[in-house]
Amino acid sequence: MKEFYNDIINIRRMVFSAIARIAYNDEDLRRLGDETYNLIPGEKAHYRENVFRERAVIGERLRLALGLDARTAAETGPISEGIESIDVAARVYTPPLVSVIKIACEACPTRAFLVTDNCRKCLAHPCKNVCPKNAVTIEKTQAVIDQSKCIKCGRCKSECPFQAIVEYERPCAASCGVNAIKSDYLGRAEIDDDKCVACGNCIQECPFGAISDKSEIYQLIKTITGGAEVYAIIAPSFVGQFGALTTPEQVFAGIRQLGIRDVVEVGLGADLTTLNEAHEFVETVPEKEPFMGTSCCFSWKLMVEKNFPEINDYISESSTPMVYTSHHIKKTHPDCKVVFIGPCISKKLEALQENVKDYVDFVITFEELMGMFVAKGIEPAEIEVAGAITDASVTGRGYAVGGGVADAVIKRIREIRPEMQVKAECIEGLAECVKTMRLAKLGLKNGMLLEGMACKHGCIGGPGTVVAAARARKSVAGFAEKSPYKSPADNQNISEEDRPE
Amino acid sequence: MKVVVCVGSNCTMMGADSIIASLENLKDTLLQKEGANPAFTLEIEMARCLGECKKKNAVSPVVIVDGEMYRNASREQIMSVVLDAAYEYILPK
Repeated sequence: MKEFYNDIINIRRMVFSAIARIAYNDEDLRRLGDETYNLIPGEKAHYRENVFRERAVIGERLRLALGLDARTAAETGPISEGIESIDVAARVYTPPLVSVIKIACEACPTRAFLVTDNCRKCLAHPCKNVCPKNAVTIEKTQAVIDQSKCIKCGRCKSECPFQAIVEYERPCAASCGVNAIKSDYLGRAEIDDDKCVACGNCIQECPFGAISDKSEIYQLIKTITGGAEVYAIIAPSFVGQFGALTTPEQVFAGIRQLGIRDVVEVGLGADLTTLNEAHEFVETVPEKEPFMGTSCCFSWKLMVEKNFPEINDYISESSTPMVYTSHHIKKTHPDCKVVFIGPCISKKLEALQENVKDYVDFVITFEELMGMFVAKGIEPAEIEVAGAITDASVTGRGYAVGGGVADAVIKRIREIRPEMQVKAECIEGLAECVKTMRLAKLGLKNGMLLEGMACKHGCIGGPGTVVAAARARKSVAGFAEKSPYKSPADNQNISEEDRPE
Repeated sequence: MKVVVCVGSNCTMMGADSIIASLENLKDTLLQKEGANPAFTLEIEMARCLGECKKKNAVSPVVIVDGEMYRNASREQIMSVVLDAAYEYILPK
């Protein structure tokens, strides 16, 4: 979460709560245009140059939150256009997941080296002297870089004694670990869907709030209000996300007040992932495979699949905690619908995979759930609850924080093979993940367990979180300690048949 | 000085957490610095939904500083109120 982007975050969240309210109240979607006036009232602009553009942008946000594709200015017709296609009580979600709201994008210049006011037009002018392309000239007041000649080697920047030359990159592209941000014919950002792994970094980083994913809260709520048996599974990073005074048990109670039958911690599935990955590691590394990568972060998995096909087989075959947890519920409730609630948007894409789509029916983020609480006027902190949640072990709950997955698997390996010495490396941030896999491809990570997380800080730093990672970390740790199960093997909720071996 | 931050659903959604984080940060950094009134104390309290958002739309987040209520509170506004109070005895107005 980019916690100082207050206005952008608030606009996004107001849209979620508006869509949730519309869905719960069964309001007419053809009146969606009215909502742009509710959200952006009056005639004075607050965020952009005029109120008309603000409403147009929020209109596109409303459409994305309903699951529709973002439109360009050329395509922008009536706001309710095509709305019938998403007004259903089932998943309608189709890729692309992450898109640029073109009418909000300011077409920021792309990567360049620029001379700032710090330039003293000095006598030595090393910038000019080191430039291999003669792109630097000393003009009337300062040095100037001819962008048509510049090859972006950066030598002028490193030689300048006044730190007068900056390397500039637009925030969306700078945040993308897989170089998936291109430009369209107007210089606006465009996402290369072949490269994008839906980590959501650019959504958080764009200072104009011009990139968004799609939501399925509307269809989820229609499924709930239609009377379906809906169960929620909630990712380990949920603790502390829904109000500083709200306990985990109250979050569960709040979710039940939304019309959801029951809630299960995804930490339960994390325990199964731990058991399976530990088992898989001791069976395969180093004899059959040189190293093993964890499997729970879908963006990391997708990045390896797209960029490193030759070592893709070394990513664990164990299912993700989301899949195991959903399987756990669907075993006893075969006809139910399962919604995964997490900090993550790439889970929305994972849920469309052939081997996952039958287990997970909807995916929403913590922010979107918060919007649902607000729409229904639910105050989780005020709900009286008895008893404690005991779905997951200490280390299963620890999956929320970067390093937690490797920690859980290593501890489990020690339990089953005390003699084995396994080294682990935890990688946070997609760009770092790419660097590490380059080294792994060269054989430099052999024998290791590699935990890859597309988000810095792990899941608590995900794009769908409500609170800052530093605060979430404390809450997650406190809840983990309360688990009655020290090891995933102690978890009484996991049946014998589901355990490996 | 006592600051009460509402952490009900609406206020949490609209950034109550970031106001608390900023105040805690102030407490750990600026308020320890030279120039701050040593007698000044900052108490940060979190409150369940204060009910303001149920009376009127678009008022979150809600913060009460020494009894005075701020609707649509922003972190910079609350920080500046706190800092003004912390420094008023030392710095000339």
